[in-house]
Amino acid sequence: MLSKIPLFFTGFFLLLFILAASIVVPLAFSEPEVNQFRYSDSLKKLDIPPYSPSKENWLGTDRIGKDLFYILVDGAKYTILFACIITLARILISVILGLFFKRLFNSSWFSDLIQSFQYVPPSLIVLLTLSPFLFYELRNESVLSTSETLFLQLLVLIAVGVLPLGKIIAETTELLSRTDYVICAKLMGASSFQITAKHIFPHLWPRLFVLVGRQFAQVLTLMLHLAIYHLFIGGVQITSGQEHDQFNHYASVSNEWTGLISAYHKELMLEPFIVMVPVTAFALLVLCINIMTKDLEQHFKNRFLSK
Amino acid sequence: MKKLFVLMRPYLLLSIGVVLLSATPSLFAGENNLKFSLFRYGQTVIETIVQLTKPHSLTLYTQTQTLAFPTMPENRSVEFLDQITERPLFPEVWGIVIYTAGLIIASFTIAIIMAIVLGWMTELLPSIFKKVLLKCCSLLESMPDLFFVFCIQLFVVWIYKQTGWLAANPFTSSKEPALLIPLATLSIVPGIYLFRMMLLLSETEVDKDYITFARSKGISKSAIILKHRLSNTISELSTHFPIIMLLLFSQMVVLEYLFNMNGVIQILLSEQPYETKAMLLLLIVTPLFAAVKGLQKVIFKRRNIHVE
Repeated sequence: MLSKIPLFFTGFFLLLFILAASIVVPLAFSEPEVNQFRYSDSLKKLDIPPYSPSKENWLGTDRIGKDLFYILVDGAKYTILFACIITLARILISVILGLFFKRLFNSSWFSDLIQSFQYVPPSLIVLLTLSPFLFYELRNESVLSTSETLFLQLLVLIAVGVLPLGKIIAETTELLSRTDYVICAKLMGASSFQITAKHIFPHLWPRLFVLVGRQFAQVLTLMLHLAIYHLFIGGVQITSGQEHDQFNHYASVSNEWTGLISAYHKELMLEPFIVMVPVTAFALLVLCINIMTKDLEQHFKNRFLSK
Repeated sequence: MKKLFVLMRPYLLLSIGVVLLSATPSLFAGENNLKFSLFRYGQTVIETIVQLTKPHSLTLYTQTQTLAFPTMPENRSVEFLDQITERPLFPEVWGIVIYTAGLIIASFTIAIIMAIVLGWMTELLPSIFKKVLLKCCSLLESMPDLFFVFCIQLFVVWIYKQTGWLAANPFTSSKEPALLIPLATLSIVPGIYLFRMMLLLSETEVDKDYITFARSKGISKSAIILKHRLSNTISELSTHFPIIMLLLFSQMVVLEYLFNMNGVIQILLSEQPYETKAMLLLLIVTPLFAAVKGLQKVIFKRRNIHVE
């Protein structure tokens, strides 16, 4: 198995390693101290944050002087875990829906109704639903508590993907149940439960794996798009140093990657490397998942052809 | 009459779906906390549909925040006063809707044309190039779209810093709206996607009989590609148009913030009545739907003639 899909397992172990490192490192090491300035006697050189990459700060620091490498490692677990939870919940619910309401999903009026998910992007749907609850100004308080915020966000993020996914699964099931062996089994008197369990599910499994990979990448992109509008998973912290509201600073509660990208976005024209560090990390994560999915897809296709 | 109904039915159902989506906040909104209620949701949806039938009564809220100083003898604290003014939605909103929808449709066209021209050109190249290009494309396609946006913005500003020549303004200012760079960034990702699809699809076309037949008649390679393979690939490609539209629209949502554009999304996300939000969403979705369906129809019609 391992030798047949080497890229998938490389990516899988890499993800596990990042996850483990992200959980262990913050427990083992405390966050490196913020140096307000650097000064060396011999060179008489004075330096203030943001520092560029050096021996002490592997990826440099941001404008306050926080070590970017530490922040990235700490934030990785939130990004991966949130995306994982949302993806798996979506798949689970939509498999149940797709199998039970197969006929409803395949009826033409319902699929026309679901079409609205094909023309209105998920990010906009989530923003439309959540903006009355979660958007607030500097001087106001959030209406919801942190746990309520998290619950509502997860609920909406899961719900927005369930219907289109359910349709894909219902279509696949319909296609599989038209095959000869299913019709044979039906004529011989197999119950619909048995047909689903014995004939349809074994063929649905590999497709589900590929779907999980695609969904994972989509959820990550969705999280990034939401973060641009300061809708971070877990809530937002708004601070301002000025008397007027022009320079509000929006930061996520955790060091979650999409939140970092959004918070550092205003550095794009000033110190590009600060924002490019989390952007590159995020891009590599998405790339890794896409490569894993493609490898898996290719493997299943080859297996299907060889049969 | 019946034909018209059949033609309009997907659109009607789509609009109902859009209304259902735009009313979702009322599913959760209680007085002061979260409260799930399907009944209130139904009420809101029906109210919204009733309001939508009277488009001239729709209104647009504008929030303004003014800084107020109390009279001098007291301490000099500032106060922020929130004000909401209500204006009729039309004709105020037409320009904004046309700007957003126009950008999406223009980049849709650019992406398709770019993919077709590039696809035709790569067909003429040796097959090693094609393989390398395919690998590059699938690599680029896996990148998140914001990566391209940041790179392009940085690149334009870098050129400006180096040479003093501003290719196009990278942000909307109060004087002129950003046009060229949003267009370029919007059409890059779908362009790559379509281009890769072109190459993949035309690969499956090669082995088909009509190509062999045409070649045996002595038709030149470029003519076969241009006349036969390309037109067949395009009709295969048209099944991917809805995905491209979705990709474009979801990028537009982000770009509007990043380029500071005065588009529809910022109105949709501010505090507005449900019927206004539904109306705006419909105004954006309608041209996109029409473009996809119309283009598909044209392509399929041409293909049918070819088959006969």
